[in-house]
Amino acid sequence: MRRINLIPLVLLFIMAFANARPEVFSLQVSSEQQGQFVQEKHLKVLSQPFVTKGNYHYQQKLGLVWHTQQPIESEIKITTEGVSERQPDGHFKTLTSNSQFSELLLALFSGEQGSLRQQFEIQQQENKLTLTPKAKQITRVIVKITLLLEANKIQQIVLYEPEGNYTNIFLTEMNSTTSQD
Amino acid sequence: MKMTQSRLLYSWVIITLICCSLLLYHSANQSIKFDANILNILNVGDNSGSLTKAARKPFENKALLLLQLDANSVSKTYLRQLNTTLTEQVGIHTVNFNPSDNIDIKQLISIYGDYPLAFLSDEAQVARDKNDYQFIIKRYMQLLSQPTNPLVTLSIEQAPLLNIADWFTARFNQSIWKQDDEFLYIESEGLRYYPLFIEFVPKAIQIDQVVATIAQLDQALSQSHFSEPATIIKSGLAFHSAAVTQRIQFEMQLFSALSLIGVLLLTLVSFRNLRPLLCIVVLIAASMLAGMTALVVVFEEIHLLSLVFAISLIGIAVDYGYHIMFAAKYTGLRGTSLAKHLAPALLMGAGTTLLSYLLLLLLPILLLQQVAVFVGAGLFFAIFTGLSVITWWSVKVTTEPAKMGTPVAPPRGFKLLLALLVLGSVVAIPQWHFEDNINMFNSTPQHLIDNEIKVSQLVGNQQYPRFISVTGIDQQQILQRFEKTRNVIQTLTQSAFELKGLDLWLPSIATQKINAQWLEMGIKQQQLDPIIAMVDPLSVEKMFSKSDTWLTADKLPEFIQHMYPSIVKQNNQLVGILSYMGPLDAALLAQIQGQLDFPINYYDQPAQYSAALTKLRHYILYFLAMAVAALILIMIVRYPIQIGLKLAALPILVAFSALAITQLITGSVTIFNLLGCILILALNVDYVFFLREHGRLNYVLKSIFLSATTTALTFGIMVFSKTPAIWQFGLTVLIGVTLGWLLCNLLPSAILNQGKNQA
Repeated sequence: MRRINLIPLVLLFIMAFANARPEVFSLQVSSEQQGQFVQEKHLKVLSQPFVTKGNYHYQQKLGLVWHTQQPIESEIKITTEGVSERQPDGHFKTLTSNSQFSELLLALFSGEQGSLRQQFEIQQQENKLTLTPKAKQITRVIVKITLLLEANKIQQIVLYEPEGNYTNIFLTEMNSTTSQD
Repeated sequence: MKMTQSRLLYSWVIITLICCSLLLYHSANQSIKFDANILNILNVGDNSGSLTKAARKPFENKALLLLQLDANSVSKTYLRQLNTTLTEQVGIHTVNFNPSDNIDIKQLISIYGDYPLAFLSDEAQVARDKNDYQFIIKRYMQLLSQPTNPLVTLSIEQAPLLNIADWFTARFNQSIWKQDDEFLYIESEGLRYYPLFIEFVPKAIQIDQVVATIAQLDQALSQSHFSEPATIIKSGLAFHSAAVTQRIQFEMQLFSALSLIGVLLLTLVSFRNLRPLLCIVVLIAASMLAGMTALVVVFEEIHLLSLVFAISLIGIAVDYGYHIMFAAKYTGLRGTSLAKHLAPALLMGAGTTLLSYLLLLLLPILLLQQVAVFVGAGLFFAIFTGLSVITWWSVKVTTEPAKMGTPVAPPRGFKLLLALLVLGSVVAIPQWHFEDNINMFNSTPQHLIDNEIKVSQLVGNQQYPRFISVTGIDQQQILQRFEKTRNVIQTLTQSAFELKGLDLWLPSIATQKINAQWLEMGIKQQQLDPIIAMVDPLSVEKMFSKSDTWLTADKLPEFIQHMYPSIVKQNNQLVGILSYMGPLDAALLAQIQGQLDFPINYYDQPAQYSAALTKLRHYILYFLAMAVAALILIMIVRYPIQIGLKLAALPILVAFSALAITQLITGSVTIFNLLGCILILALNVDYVFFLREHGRLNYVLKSIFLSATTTALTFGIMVFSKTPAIWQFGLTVLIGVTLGWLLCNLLPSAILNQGKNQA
């Protein structure tokens, strides 16, 4: 009888141990990657999702270039210094120098555990990572982020905003320079 | 006789008790307030004082520290630790790495979201003027295309056209700063500067606490950490206020103590008796008590500089004490008979001095008015104390007879001195220069000025030196005029200098209406269909339901209202202030004015105060001319015309020569030198009256010598002040009193006794 009673305790211990190491997750670290994206904005105020398509190029040193091709042509550059937008004459105009949100996105693309842990509480369930922002200012805008992984690479990012709004980003990676973290 | 003396003594005790009670009452109620800003004492008489104060208010309790650090984690740890240390200080309200940290964006957008069509960014307004709806559509798509944008997330529900998200983007864009983690920074010449934005508790930067507040802050900055910044640049009014206050407080205490010690030592040496010493202490204490009580009762706020000048009362008050005690010692008189013997000369001398000081009340300078009240009340009570207490409790009567000092003073020395003074004046006149530049009187330590210059080079002017004011019948007219002025200045200068004003966050209702009408028309004319087609119809309906309400100042969050100068009510109209951080010369101002259909006023504070000083100098010169005329009049009424003119010429010549020598030494003459002349006239008139009334008796000469020495000591010590206004005043008075004493000493008896027989 005693042996039988110990089994659930052992199982509980194993589960608790697993939960005590939530920061252990597998995500490919990229110094450079590029590909295509499809972004769907599901906002309550919109009668249908707002879908944009285009390509992206992430470089650890230069940041993320988000080039939307449909429905309009636009190019924004997200760096640690903020967000800037390409003007018709080719130069980039700063949209915001508040880099909190830029760094959050850059951390996702870099896959670096250190910078991700600095900004998020992280939980992994199989191929899904759930990231909860730590900064109060960010939690007002982003409730949580989920990443769907395939072979340790991000396939889909879902940004959950307050009041049921969310943004779905599907990534198709074309090329990347990687190292396993 | 004894009855009269007793009444005088009782009255003295009662007045002293009243003064003590009033001072204690005000101290207990903490209603004695001090000020140290030199600009506050110059009322320029064109109503700009209240505007200047309003323009300064948003900056008053704020400070900026720029810490030059390496870009590494050690520096960041240091910054975080410093932030924690400073936040714990009682005098500091908030410390931020980023001033927008404290802004609740959600709440802010929610307020503006109640007016979903009223706000358009500058670029969108340009599109509005061109009737270009494509801009709105393109902007909408661009904003929605971004993977995440908090402004979109927070505003789209209330303002589905995203015009408010676009409007806020410009408001939050602090292009001069870059960001590194939670820190802002700016780079210059390969060095990185991290800012710390500090807001003090208003009470902590009041004059009685500002020194302690800044000392605490400095201590926190100098505490040893494992990484310290190579340089800390400080900017803010509180630093200047603390430095100036500390210096004035130190000088006031030092000069008071040294003057008092000097006066007491001289008294002890002269009388070799303890009682005269006590008499002098009582006289000084009584006059100071009366002066301070009058200041506290008359003025709401006392300028520390007034107290520094008021120390001069010690020098004047003791004069009367010496005259009384020497007269008592040498004439053997006491009590009422002594008072009667001295009264004519004492009252004539003190009356002229008192009158001179009280005339200062007519000048529109707060500092002089405070000095006049302090010295006026102090002198009055000094004379009263002298005639009531000192005559009664004076030195023991000796049998030492009054002797003639020097029966006939040698006229050669007098003539030689006169010739030298005239020569000095002749040499000085061709190079005469009145200096009215306010910067000459700036007593802020150089390192703080250098810091402000460095800050303005790095991040633009953070202080308040220049502003533009516009008048209007109501707030809306002022906001409209702000917008027009802003447009004209930006078109003409294309300058990066920022024009700060409430209209940045609160467009006029007229502008809000035009914006809303244009967007509404775009929806109705189906120009904005690419957006409307995507938006839930209920949201569009909701947006329209709010399209005829407008944001007004009363609905703005408090932090925005505190960011800019308040609108001031003046002469039955309202005056709005736009802080302008760039240079604006007369030609550009005329150009701007030419394009506006309403008047604007430009205030360049340093220039404005310099102009005020010029105006005040003219007042003081008129005043001096009046004082000279009054002196001549008194003399020729009291004495035969020829004698009166000769006697009046002496103080006038001394005062002018003192100014001439000041000009030769410093290269210019300021209003504070002219103010010294008033005192020189008053003191020398006293000497002349005593000599003429009592003759060249040895006790008269001794008392003049002691008076001149104590006055020279109390004023002369001011030459060592680091506050330009004080040392300039002290220098002229020192020269004037020395010359006056020399001339009185050498004054030939022929002049003094002339006409006495006829009289």
